[in-house]
Amino acid sequence: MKKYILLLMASVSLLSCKKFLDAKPDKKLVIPSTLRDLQGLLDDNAQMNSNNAALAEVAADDYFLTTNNWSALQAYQRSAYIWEEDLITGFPNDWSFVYDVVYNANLVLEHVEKIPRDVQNESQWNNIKGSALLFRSKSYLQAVNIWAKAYDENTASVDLGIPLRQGSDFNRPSVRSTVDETYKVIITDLEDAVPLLPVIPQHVMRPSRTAAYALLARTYLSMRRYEKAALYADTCLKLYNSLLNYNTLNAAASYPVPRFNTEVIMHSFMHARYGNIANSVAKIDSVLYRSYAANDLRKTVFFKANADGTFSFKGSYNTTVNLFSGIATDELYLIRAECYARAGNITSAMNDLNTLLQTRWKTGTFVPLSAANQQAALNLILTERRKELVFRDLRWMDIKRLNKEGVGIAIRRNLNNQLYVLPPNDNRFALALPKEIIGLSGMQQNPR
Amino acid sequence: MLTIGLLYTAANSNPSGRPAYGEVRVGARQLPYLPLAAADGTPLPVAKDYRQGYIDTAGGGKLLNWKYYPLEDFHYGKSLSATRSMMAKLGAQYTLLKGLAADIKYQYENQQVNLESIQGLQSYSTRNMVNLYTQLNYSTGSVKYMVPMGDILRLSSGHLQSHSVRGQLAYNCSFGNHAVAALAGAELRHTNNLGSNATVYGYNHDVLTTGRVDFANTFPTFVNGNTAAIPDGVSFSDKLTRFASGFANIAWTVYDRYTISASGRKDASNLFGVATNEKGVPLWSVGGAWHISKENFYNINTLPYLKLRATYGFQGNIDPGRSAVTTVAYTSSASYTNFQQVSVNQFANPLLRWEKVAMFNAGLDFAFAKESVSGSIELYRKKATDLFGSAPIDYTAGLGNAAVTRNVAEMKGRGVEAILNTRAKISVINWTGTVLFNYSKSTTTKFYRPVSLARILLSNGNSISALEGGSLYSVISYKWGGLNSSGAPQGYLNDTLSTDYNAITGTGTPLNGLVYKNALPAYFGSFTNSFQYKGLSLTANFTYKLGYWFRKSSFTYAGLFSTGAGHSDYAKRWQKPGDELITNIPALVYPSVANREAFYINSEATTANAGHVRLQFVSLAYELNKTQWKALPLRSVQLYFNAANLGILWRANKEGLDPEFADIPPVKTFSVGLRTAL
Repeated sequence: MKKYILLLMASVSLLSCKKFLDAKPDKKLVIPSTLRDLQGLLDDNAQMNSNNAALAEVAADDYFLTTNNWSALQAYQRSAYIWEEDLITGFPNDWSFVYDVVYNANLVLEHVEKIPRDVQNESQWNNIKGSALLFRSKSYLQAVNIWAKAYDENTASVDLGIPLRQGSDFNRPSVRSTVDETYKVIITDLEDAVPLLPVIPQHVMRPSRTAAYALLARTYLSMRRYEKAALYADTCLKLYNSLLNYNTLNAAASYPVPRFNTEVIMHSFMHARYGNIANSVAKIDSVLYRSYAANDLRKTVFFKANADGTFSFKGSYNTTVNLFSGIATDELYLIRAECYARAGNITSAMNDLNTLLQTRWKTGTFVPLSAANQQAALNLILTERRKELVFRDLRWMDIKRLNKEGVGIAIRRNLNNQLYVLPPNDNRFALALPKEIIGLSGMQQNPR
Repeated sequence: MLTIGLLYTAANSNPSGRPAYGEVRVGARQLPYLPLAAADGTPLPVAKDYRQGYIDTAGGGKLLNWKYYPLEDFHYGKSLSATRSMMAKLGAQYTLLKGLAADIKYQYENQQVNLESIQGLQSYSTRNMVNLYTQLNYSTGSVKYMVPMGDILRLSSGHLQSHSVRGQLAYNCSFGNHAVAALAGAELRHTNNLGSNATVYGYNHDVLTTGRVDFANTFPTFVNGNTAAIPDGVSFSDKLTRFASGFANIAWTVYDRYTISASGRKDASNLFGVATNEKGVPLWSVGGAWHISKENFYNINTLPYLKLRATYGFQGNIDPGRSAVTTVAYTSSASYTNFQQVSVNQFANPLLRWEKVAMFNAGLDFAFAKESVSGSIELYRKKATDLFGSAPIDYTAGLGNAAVTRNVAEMKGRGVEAILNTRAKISVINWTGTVLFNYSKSTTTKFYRPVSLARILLSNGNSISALEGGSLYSVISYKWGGLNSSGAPQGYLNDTLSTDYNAITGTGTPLNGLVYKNALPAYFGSFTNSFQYKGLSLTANFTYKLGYWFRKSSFTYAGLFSTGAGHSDYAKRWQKPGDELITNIPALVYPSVANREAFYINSEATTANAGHVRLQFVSLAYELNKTQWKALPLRSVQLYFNAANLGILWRANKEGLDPEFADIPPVKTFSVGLRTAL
């Protein structure tokens, strides 16, 4: 009998010891298991929406730097301006910011599959899975734009793409995919996300079906597959096509365009680690500035005059010095217009362009544009695209794809009377991966 | 037997609020010289966040004064911290049987800390908040204050409760020539910390009124128009630490001379995301002792006490950050959206194993006749596998970290520990001296993860060195070739001097081309002398550390240009041809060259021998006691003067640097006191 009592006492004490040690060290900690936990990970907008890569804008030609401003920058910022290899140093950086989003998305995707989907939680479950897929593909699209060559269907199956991290285990080695594989994953993920996402999100910091269609349009445009791009831009605009009338804005404000305005389909913005593109330093390309007509409101909404006669940018849809990298309807109008023009549908193309420009000009001054032929329409649309989407994380992609079309855009930097040139289709349009990453993963560096 | 104790403490404190060293800055820049007062003593403003010219005119008179006066700003803020704590102790001892005693102790602690800080409307921080969120309409001239005009009150409170219980059974018995001593017990601890914070705007202390604030919406801020929400300053925390431990040991002695012993214990705590049986770490050891001086054959009269002992032990360590599953934490609600956000707290690290340490030590205890000299010498050998270390990872993994904890290396170590106590009487003065001597050497025997790039190995000596056969902790640097005739630092590429910094810091330096120097003291210990004459005593304690190296602080031109981070080395920089013979500080170049600086700051030029001897403390005391002074109402009274952290007496480096305190030396403390015993 005594033996049993002892045994009982021992097992009770062991069990209570287990209970004693299983108490949480911090009440705020959980092991992700509910949809609320997963939605919370996606709603961490500081990680998911607010640290988007800025290198594509840093390397592009919406701005220039004076030698003095350039000299005062940090070494990695100076290198990035002239597309040198050592354009990322320190941590965190653009590479890590892109893949931090991918990690959260993967974590959510791994856990959501463990939660049974039923009638009650279906819309929430769908929203979570669809959002994770969209966040991941949006990051991949930014990365492939920065670190891989422009999509070319003749070489995409051999051109180096980006590492596709499809799980959260950090012990898995990173391997570069091909450009073709990268785009396939982006498109498949977005197509999978479409039926899962709500048409209109609770907040534009969350993904939505319109955002998925818009990203598909952007993706196909960067691949120069214009019929598909037109199809998705059209589907998106049929769901949501609201434009902001710039006549309602106060051009004198420090940042005249309100955050989360009616055009925004999905909101995200770039980190501010690159002083190059801060509006206290970055001067607007003078040819670009001069291309706006006097009655074009963008001339005063987007730009402010500096004391030295140059101009700086204040038109961020984020209403801060951080640049907008999200999706807005103006871009979709321009995608559809360009694709219509390329398909020879000049009337529809010019309709889209005029619908947009109507809201950008002083009331009563805008005379709708017309084009005599397909090329004229295309030229008009591309010029307006350049003027509308300044510092929107799209210029680098446009230069790359348009150079594939033979437009021949070179970027020139003038520092200390020395000229740095990035000729069309140069290898350096795929920027160098961080050296540490090459050293640690053994992945192949982009040719310089 | 029962023992009861109760202790109640109440403490209040009011910090002065004066800015501390390095706190007065202009923007992000630390300036070496900054006028704080005019010649006649009038406090001067400092352009802390904004240009003077800007704040002079900003708002055209519609804003609060935006100037910051470091010399008087602290008058307008006050804070009060009040601590109330209670501690209760309960103990019971009971003899169950002859030789078997039970002992149980319980302790309860309850501490409440309340912090209240008011930044008055006149203080810079409050004026700045009000101005930043002021909505000024230039055309109509209307002014709207989103942060109400008034003081800002910050409240914070912490509540700690802890329980701890320790129970043990001790058994002692001897029969014939055998003696057994055994002990077994367990300990449980539970500590709960609750905290809360709140901020109140527009507070008026006299009539206790508060202002209303819109925390949900964002507003354009005054200076740059960036929109931002007013911080609500509300947060709660609830943290719990639990600790359980079980232990047992037994020693069996025969003939009062031969002892064998064994001990084991396991400590566990409430780690999150870890299976229960993985929450604890084991520790066991076996040992033996031989009391030689008790042997019949022993007849060395000058050495009446001699004992030889040896132990072998094993220990496992777990990384407290280890988690078998990825855990997440609920943080404050997200900015812009106010959705409840969650962020990763600890990512799964399934490959992490226990760190395992095995140690063997053998010691000799001795005492000479009349115990005028006594001491012990101990030799040990240590072997450890699966050592934890921070290993750089391919951050494509997206953890938000460039490094993770991994099992990185194996090591072996050996060492000597010796203590020698002496006692002597020199005429009327009693002298006691204690010498501690330690020798220690640890070597990396295996490094698990091959490193490809020399740059990754560079170290200030605070991480495990990857060089197999080298010191476990090493200061690892580029080889230094001095400055060239134009003041540029020179390294080596293929054994020839070079200024190709991209190659030196890139693939041009092979792993064995780096310079490895031991970073932990090889010899260290202390030396204490005490002199006593009647009631007067004087004690001095010296410590020494020898045979190791450290990384000197220096500066980079990039840091100097961007944040104004200065350094006295700047004055010693290369300035004209010929300086390269007397200095290692590179010439100034603008713009700065990143890899040139990375080379210099991680080169041998910034390392130095860290050996030093320090005067740790001196104490002078005078004691009166009742045996000598019968009229004394107390048993004894001691008057003492202590001085601590008195500084370095000798150092191996020529620059006069303290290898243990790079920037600010430890504060010298002097205390005078009176100690009494009833």
